[in-house]
Amino acid sequence: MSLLATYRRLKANGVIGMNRRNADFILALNDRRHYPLVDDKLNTKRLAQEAGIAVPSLYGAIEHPHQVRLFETIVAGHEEFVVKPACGSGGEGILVVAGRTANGYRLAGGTVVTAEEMHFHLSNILAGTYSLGGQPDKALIEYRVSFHRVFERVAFQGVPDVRIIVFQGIPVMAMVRLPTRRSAGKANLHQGAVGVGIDLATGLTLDGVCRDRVVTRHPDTDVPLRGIEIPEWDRLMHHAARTYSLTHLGYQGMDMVLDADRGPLMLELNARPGLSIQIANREGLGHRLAAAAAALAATPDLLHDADRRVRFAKETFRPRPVAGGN
Amino acid sequence: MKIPPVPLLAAVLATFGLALFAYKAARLEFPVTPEAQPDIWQVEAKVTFTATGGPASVRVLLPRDTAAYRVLDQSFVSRGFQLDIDATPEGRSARLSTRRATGRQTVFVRFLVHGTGDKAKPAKAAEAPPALPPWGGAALETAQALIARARLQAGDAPDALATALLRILSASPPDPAAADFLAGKPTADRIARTAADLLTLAGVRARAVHGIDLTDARNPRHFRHWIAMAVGGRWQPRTIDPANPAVPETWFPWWTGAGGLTHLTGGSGAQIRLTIDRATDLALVNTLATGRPVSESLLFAPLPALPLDLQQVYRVLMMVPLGVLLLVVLRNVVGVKSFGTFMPVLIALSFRETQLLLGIALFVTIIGIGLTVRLWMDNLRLLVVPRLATVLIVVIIVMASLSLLGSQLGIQAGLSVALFPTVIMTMTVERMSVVWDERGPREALQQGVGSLIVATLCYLAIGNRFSEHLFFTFPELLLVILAAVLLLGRYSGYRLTELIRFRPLAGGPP
Repeated sequence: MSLLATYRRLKANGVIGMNRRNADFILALNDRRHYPLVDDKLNTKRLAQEAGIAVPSLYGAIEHPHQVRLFETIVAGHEEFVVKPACGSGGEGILVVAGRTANGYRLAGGTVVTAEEMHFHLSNILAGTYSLGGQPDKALIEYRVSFHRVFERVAFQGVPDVRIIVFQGIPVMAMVRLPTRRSAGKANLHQGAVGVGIDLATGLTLDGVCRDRVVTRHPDTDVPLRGIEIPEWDRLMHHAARTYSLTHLGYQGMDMVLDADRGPLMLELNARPGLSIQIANREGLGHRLAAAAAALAATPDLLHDADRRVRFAKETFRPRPVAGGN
Repeated sequence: MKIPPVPLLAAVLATFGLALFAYKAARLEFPVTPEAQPDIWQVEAKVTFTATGGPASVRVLLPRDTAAYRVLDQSFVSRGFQLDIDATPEGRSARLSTRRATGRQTVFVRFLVHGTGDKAKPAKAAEAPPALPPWGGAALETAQALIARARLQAGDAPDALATALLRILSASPPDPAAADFLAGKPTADRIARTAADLLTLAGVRARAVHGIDLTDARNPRHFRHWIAMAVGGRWQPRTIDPANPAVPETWFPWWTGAGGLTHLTGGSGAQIRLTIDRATDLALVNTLATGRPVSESLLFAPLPALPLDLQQVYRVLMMVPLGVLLLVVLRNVVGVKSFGTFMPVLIALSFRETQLLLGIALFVTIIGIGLTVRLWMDNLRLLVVPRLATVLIVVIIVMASLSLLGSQLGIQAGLSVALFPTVIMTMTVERMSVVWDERGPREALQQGVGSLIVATLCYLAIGNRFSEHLFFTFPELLLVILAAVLLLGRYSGYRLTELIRFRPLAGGPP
């Protein structure tokens, strides 16, 4: 297929490119002054809790270098926990501690980190190693999610999470991100995790994408990706619909994890969600976004009622039957 | 105020820029290509000195028209100095004087030299008694002995005698007899003066000539020194190189004799910085020649009216927008990944000095060593800011070592490594190491090569004489570039790389 023909087909299929996402959605709908709400995970956590959305509970935050020595006090009594930068992006700088050893901590991957190394890591987080633009940052110590059994056979090590793209409060597209050996247990697509599309109406998984290629089986476990039922799908959809009133960002991605004990927990909101979700769903975002915009223009009330927005999404956004032409 | 839509804004800017460009090119006949450049040179001598507090004056000798070159438009810029033009035995001179001056003083002398295209013809040598050098006693005897030696080798013919004398004066190691006259330092200036003196003493009227070389070269420049002998009623020039006596046609004589270009009273530590640049602007010269007001040419050719060293800064600066436009296209339309937003353009600018292949080699070497050190430094567990500082210092050490190596091996371009932007190089090393850690060496190398490709393309766009000439002569073209960048800012179509990325979604309708 010639490039020009590809261009036309992508356009006809409503695929959104990076330039279009930035110009027509992020620049147009996301007011810069609301960014701190989502860029700092501590803020997001507070907002979510106020709105009654469950989040992984916070054991403590380290904001200044002299507080680093308080770390042991914070984690006392917790066998498992997660250390993450408040303003980190792309899953960088996150340590998942699965237990203790004589002189340090055992990470989920099996490596052992000494107390001294842990302090160095905390100092690095505070100095801004993992934050956007190298700004000084905070370190959060929080509950370690023990992920739901449903993902047991399709996740390699780390924690799978569910990403839902929300347009003006209407969930428009979703995927579940599964860690792989290549992504070293991280759920970020650019690190090699698998993204699997989700049927918004039923919460059943579709095909996946790995490194921008369509996959139907998990690359490590070889388990088929299609047809897995995401537990508590309705609650996830409702949470997604309500995030708009938390941040007022017209185009955002919500990341949630499913905890075996506590159910859906919101991890973070993202003001610049990636575009690979389109490949995972084998569908462009464009037509769905246009339909949502038209519905909002026709019935402005939709903006005020999260339940109706969820119902609208479930009725309108059905997965495309798989077409040929790859 | 209502914000105008981007296409309208872009259209207005582009129309204005193109209209001015067309008017200048078609009606004012500004040369569009560098080949159309006239043989006109802008010469500027910047004289600095420290005034002692009382009255101070600087006398600067002025050049004269020759058969091959005409001097146009002399000007003098000096705050608080009064200008007088005097006739002195050495020729016309400008005297810039002030009642009272303290501290550092700067005086500019500028003129245009126009190559008339005529063959260089030696100037007439008026009958005059030879100006014998003020030597006496031992010096005179040594001089006589030197002349006798030269005569023994070459005979009495002026040319042969001059060659023999120059051979003695420029011998390496220095001839012990000649060393006295050269005061231990065989500079071109001293050799020319001494040769002229010796020739005069030997009965061949001769004088030292000091001038400049009107060629494209990097500034600041040095003066050239040669001699002229009165043979057959004309001043026959020749270089001080015994093997190669022909004076190049590009050498333009400024002043003659044993004195220096400037004479300073009421101050000390005079220094002359010389810049020579080809004038790109025919119209400016024409207006000067026809006496049209300069203000008009200032309107249409603002940049050539700047001091020469500033002009050179803008010659480079005016190229940056073109590089940036290319960068925008490569990033937002093609989708090339590169480190840092403007890093490739800045690297491309340094490639102008180092030349492309050597530039790439130097860049890869610096980044390679920097990255190796940076990756090893992970073991040291340094915090962010000290770590960046460490990388910066390492980058500077690597650059200094490369310059040193270049100068030891006699590779001139090795020295220009110093022109690489150090901070940008440091940030490139840091980002590359972060990508290396987080996404693997493959991705890091990919982005590194991507940056280098963008830098190379930028260099090809901005590193040639044509575009340099175009943007310096027609700065209004920047408005056209601005318009293009504004339009690209609203481009929301796919990037070329996305056509490949989203290919799985390019299927037909269900």
